[in-house]
Amino acid sequence: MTLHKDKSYRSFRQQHKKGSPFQLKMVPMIDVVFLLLVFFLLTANFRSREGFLPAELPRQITHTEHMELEPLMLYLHSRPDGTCRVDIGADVSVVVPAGESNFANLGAKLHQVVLDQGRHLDDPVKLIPNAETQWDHVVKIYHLLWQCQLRNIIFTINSNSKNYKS
Amino acid sequence: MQKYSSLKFHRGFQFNMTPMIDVVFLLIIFFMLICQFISQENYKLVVPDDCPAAIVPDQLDRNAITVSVFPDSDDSASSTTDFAKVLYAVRSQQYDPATAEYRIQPELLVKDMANQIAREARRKKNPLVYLRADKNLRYSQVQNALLALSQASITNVQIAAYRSEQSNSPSSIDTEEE
Repeated sequence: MTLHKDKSYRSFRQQHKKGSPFQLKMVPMIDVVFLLLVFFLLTANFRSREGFLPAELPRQITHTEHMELEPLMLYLHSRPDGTCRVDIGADVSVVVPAGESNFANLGAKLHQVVLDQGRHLDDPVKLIPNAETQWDHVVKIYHLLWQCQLRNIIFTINSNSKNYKS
Repeated sequence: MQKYSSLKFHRGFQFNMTPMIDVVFLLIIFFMLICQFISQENYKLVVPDDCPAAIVPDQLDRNAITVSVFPDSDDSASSTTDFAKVLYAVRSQQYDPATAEYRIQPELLVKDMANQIAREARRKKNPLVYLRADKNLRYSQVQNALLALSQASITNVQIAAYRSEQSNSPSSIDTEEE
């Protein structure tokens, strides 16, 4: 009644190995698989961790003439030397040097204008870049306004003078 | 006798390759699927930087539609002139304003982009748009994307920007008062 040792404990693989002439060569397959893995790891274009500035666009285009309150105008001009001139309304003008990341002075001027004109934080601010203004400058000024808690920001479209509120 | 002992030695140190191959195959399938998906929207462009208030999400929103505005890397004229040729993309769908169709009817470019954005937005529950535009482009080039977003009735937009440390050097800003 006792089981024979070979029959009872010998694995299926060992049993199969003995009689079968078909053996799968794993080494070339593993080589190819590793090559593929290395290829994909090297060629993969990983997306860098970008941040995002929230904006909100209206469902319909709003025109300046329909606005109840005159927005605070910010005219943005990128110069060929990399500087950016920002005109706050008609009275104040600030030039941001090329490669400048700190807009504290512009922020202080803006805050002063908002206080002088008796504006509130939810009052509209209109960004008016010209056609040649760099997107980098537009985003940096938008970021500054966002940091100043100004949320009612309008982008101006140059071609047909339509505005997009954010 | 010597032959017998070496055989015994090799038999004792066999290790199971099957789980390793399983894992390697799974990794390959993962990279094949994921890399393909991301590369559709990961156009080479440099977004504006030095925006500390920019929010870096732990994970990109599944409901997001990426709209990209980027300079054409194949454009040889862009290296010699300041005005680089620009391309637009709504997810993986690219739009070239230099094509004959859009040259004849420039408004068609914005309309086509708006239609594509609206189509993508209909598939999403709460559509959100990531606007990725190269920092060196001009506003006149990016505003077509803004126009298309507005025409597609997209309200929730996030502008891509890199975060970086805020320096404290206010003295380097010149002011002019009139």
